Amino acid sequence: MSRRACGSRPAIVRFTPALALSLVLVLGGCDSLDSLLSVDAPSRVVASDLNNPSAAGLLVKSVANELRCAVAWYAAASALTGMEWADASNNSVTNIWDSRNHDTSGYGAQYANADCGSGQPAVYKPLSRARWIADYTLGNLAEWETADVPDKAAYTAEVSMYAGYAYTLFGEAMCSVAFDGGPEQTRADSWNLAVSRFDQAISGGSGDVQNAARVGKARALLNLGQKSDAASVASNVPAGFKFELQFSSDASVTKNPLWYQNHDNQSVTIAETRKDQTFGGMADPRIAVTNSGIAHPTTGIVVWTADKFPSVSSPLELATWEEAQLIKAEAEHAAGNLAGAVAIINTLHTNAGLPAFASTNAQEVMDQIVYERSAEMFLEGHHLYDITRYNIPLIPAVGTYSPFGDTFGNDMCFKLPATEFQNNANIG
Amino acid sequence: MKSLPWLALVILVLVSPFRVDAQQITGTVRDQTTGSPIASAQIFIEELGIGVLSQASGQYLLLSVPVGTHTVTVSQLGYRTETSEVTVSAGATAVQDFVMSAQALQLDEIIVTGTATGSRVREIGNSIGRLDASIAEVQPIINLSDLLRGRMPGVVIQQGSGDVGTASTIKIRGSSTMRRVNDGPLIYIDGIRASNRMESGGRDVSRIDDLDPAMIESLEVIKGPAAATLYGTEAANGVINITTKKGAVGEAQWNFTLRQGSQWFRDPAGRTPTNWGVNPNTGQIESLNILENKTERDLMFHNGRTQYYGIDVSGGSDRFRYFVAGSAAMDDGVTENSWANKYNGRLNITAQPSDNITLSANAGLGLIRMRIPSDYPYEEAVYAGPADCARVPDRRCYRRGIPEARVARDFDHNNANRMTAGFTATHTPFDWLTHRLTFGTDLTNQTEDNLDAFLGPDFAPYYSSSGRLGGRRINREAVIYTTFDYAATGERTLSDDLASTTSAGFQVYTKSVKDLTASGRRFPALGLSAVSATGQDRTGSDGLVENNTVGAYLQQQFGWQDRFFITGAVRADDNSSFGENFDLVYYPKVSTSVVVNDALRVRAAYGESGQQPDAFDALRSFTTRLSPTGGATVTPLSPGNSELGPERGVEVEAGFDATLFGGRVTVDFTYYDQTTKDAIVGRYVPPSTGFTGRQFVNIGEIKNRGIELGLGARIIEIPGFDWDMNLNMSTNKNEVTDLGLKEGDDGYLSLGWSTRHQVGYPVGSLFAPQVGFAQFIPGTDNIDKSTMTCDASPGPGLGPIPNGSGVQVACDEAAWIYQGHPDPSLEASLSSSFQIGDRLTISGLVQAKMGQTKYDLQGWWRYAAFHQTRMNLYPQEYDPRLVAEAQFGSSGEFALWVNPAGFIRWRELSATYQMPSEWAQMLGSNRGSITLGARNLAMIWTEWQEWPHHDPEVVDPSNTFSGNREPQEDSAVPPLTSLVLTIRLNR
Repeated sequence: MSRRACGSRPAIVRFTPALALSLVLVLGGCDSLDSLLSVDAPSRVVASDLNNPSAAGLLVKSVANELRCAVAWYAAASALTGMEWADASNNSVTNIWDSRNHDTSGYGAQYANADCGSGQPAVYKPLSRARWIADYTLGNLAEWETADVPDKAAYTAEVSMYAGYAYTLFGEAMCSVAFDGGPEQTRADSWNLAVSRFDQAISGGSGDVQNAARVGKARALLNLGQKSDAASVASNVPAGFKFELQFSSDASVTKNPLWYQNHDNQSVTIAETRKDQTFGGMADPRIAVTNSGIAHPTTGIVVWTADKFPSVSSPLELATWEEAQLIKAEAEHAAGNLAGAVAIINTLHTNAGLPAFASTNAQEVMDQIVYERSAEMFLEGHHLYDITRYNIPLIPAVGTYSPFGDTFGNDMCFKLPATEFQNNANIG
Repeated sequence: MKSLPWLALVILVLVSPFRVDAQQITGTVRDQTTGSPIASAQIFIEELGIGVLSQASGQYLLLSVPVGTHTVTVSQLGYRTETSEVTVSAGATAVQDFVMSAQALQLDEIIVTGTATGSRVREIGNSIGRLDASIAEVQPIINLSDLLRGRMPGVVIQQGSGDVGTASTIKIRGSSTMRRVNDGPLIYIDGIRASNRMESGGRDVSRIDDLDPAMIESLEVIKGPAAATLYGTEAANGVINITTKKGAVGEAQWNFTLRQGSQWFRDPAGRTPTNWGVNPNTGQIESLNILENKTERDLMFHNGRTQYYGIDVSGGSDRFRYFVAGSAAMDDGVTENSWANKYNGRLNITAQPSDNITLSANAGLGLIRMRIPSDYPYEEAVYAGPADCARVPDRRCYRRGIPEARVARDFDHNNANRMTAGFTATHTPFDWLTHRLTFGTDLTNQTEDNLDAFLGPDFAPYYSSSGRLGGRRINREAVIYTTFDYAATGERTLSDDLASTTSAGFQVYTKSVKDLTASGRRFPALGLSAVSATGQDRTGSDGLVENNTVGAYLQQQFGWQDRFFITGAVRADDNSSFGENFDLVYYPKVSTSVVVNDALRVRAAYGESGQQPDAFDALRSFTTRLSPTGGATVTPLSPGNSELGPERGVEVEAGFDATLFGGRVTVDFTYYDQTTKDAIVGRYVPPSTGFTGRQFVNIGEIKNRGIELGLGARIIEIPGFDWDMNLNMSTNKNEVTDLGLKEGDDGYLSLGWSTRHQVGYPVGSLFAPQVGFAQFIPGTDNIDKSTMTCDASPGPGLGPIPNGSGVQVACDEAAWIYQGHPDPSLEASLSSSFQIGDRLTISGLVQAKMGQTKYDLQGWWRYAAFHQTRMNLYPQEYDPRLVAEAQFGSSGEFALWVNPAGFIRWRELSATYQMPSEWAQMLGSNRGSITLGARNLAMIWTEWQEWPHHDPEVVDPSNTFSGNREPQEDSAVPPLTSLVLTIRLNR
């Protein structure tokens, strides 16, 4: 890889005649000088090399991979800060996630420092990268001709769907957001941007991409409080639909972190509140957990593991018909149609082999919907924002001392980190 | 020089017809420090006009000496001139040996400056540190870092740990960059640029320590940009020129060196913390320092044997000279999994096919084999406490596992095969012109092999279900440096008084680091150890980093009456790591040297040099990422900066060299004021732009100021007894003066934890909140957070403030207060040497470092993670403010954990005895010496009296140098104490 062309070095010519002469004499000219300064970078792609249509397929696949990373490591963050997991290792990093005390800078800003592929949860870096590369790819696709990119429409829809999820999760994870070095925005801004991306995916896509975008749009609208509109979109999701993110054992970045941190390095265990959960006397199979019998070598805490992710390559559901149904149930509840909501719940119970739920009390029905969400989407990155959305009590309570000497806090969303507001010219 | 006329006289004597007289004077001339013979010394009797040169063996013979008492003088460049009254009887041969000591003011010594011919000291406007490496022949010095430590003002060596083979870091005149820099000063070996890398891995290793110090003739340290201009874009951290030994005209001289000794961890119990806790077996609060138990101590540590075997032969004629050497150094550490074996060979040849052509070929070969623990057994002793006494399986009160389990699991090796070879041709076609071509290469093939063994039933229970299955990571790295250096110097006499010296040069340097890594985890069965036998996470990776520099210089010097010199130069460089839109960089310099008289030289210099960006920091790029669905994708990696250029070191220095009291006192004083302009700041880009790393931009500025003082004195000089003292002292005031931050920023760049680059403070300073008021909740051991307050701000001026001395605010709103910085502000070493009679020399060295601070990581872990300090159990005994800092510093961020780390250490003591000739002859040689040397004898003083454990000097190099600069405590063993016997025979 040549660092730059010889013709772009006027300074060589400007240099003192004696020195220029010696350079030319020794090197045999400018080409020789350039060859001396040429170096290889075999593991890097120069950014400008991606600005051509032949890179379209690679970019689309890259967006998918970045989003997979971002969702999975955010799901781990949601699990540990969102009371699905608990610290088992007394690791100083794990403590921060578990105790709900997040600083915006320094060591306490693990949500901003960590990245996917690491042995702990991560939020801001992977989400930022996934969102950016999705919009970057959409921008490129918009400029390229269909003649050069035959799959342009399908690519655009697929990437729009991924972009929509990135914006959705941004809004759920962060207390406020910023994009492309722009000003600080609200969570609602992020969800509105998500809706526009999902609309692009729904209108231009088909099949799984289209249905995943429908679930995503419904989720974003639910976050915006537009329950009726959310239910309307969710109604078009076919029964049994699910869109899964895949994992493999190839590298730390391809492993399922929900398996790795719980089953493999055993830094976390299942939170007390999620052990042995039953409904109607029956163990809820959607929250199946197992006592591994293995004590963490440092703390002695016996680690419980989630049956949902038995292996390094266990998939993670990004969008499901069940989620769409629960969004519909919430809309029914909001509309006063408790029977409709209960019917949806019982459809899910039937599928799970659980007894029917019955109630005509609005609060009980709502509580059950919240429970159903925590069961159907257990360890899938929903519960952290659900705690805020549904005002779920924090356990352990704020101010409680942890077994490791920490005090539990109440940081249930992540503030814009110092890396953003200190370096973003449009903030502060 | 005063003795120059005598050189002509000596030559006349040598070429005159051989005469036989009855009386003569004979003897040998030796170096005081090492006892080595000194060749080509001038021995003369001034009043008689007779003289002679000593042979390579150091022997001389003065013939035709009249009967009577004469003053015999011996003189040699670099040594203090010695005289002795010798009485010669009729027909007799008088014997008079001379022992010469080094002289500081050596105006006509030739210094390697980058030009074709080098320069005499008197011509150079800078302070050049020169170190005679012969001390390594007798002292227990096993590597270059130890050789430099405490011997040169302004050169600070930070100790990594006492584990043999681990890295030290070298900083010259303070921190001149804010970046993560793996490499220290530029290293040249006989003109060939050599790897100065500090290799990170399981443990850090300094490649500069591969060299055998006993094969080095001298080191010259070019300390700052003012002196390093001709070295250009990579020299702002300083330059170390290493000259290896060469052959001298004369018969073959053989040297044999045998060294045997022992090294140990002095007072391990006294330097290991006592831990507290409730013993579950007794239900009582107990304390435990497990190393007070001799059985445990003996299981963990043993005395490590240190061995060295060296042989060299040198000699030659006017046309051909040679030096051939081989050595084996084998050092055992104090734990089972720590040793370092280094085998070095060297062949240096100099040929003069004609009077005006000199050809030299120099080659060194090194085979380095080291086992360096990354899973320190000693760490178990640091954290052993009563609370763990009932753990199952039986841990004998160790926290995680018994030390034997760590030793059984941890097999980390760092092996390197290294060759440095260069060729230099020097041609003098005319009296006034000399030009020189040097080219060569330095190749290092390093293998870092980290094997965690599959554990059998004895030790498996101490590890997790996956940890006990082991794993392996092998990293192979090929590091290649190449040098092409052409230089020419023309000297013209413009008038009787005025001389002109013009020098020009052109250099190409390339550097490539290619690495290949294979790793895997979880062996399925006992006995398996190959990566290919692992059952999980089997991965491979490779990488290549290249960096090339092309540059040229032009220098003009005028000399007036050989006393007043003025030099001007400019260098231009281009480098492959510069941004696309950044062109050549120019570095100017100007210096002057005034030799007032032979006892005083005054000098001043201004100059610039640079430090290039890291290889790919200018490039906006993506990298690849594996996809679980097959293939690879791309992901944003570096935002790049097309305008990125080098950091520019700009320096002014001034000083003087002087001798006083007839040469008995020498003074070398330098003041320097250095500014790093366009300092590269790794500024975070907003992650919302997609690039989550740092963008490197030339927006910072750093200042370094200080003085360097070398003071040598012969305190006593009486027949049969000399006492010399040397004081080396340097100060450094470091300050970040610009970070290029925008309005509204916090005014600092966080490096993680409590370390920052902050305007107005030294690079990598430590900051922490300080509790100013705290009280216990009545009836409890808990601090009342509601009434706790912290110091609001650091107050005026630079410097830590005592807890509670600032305006008080709620701790959540308090500023983090400056606690100190990682590099010493003052380093001083005092050495003393006693020459007793002709045969015995006793010398010692005490070293002090002041002003640095260090984070007590172990203390925080013991309090916060393991709850085993006394403060955990008896908080009421402590100042509530400190308890508050411990209780509420969830991330260890409070000032409690940052402490001053100044110390004074008794570094060296040795006694060298020159054998009588009959002893040497019994051993089959002509001469010999015996040295008993000790190292790291005692810690005389520590600034913070409560360093609870091993050593304020130990700093994890990966944190201080290449990582986040946090000067942390390390769980590795401290610098070892050693006692070594060296026998050196010459034939």
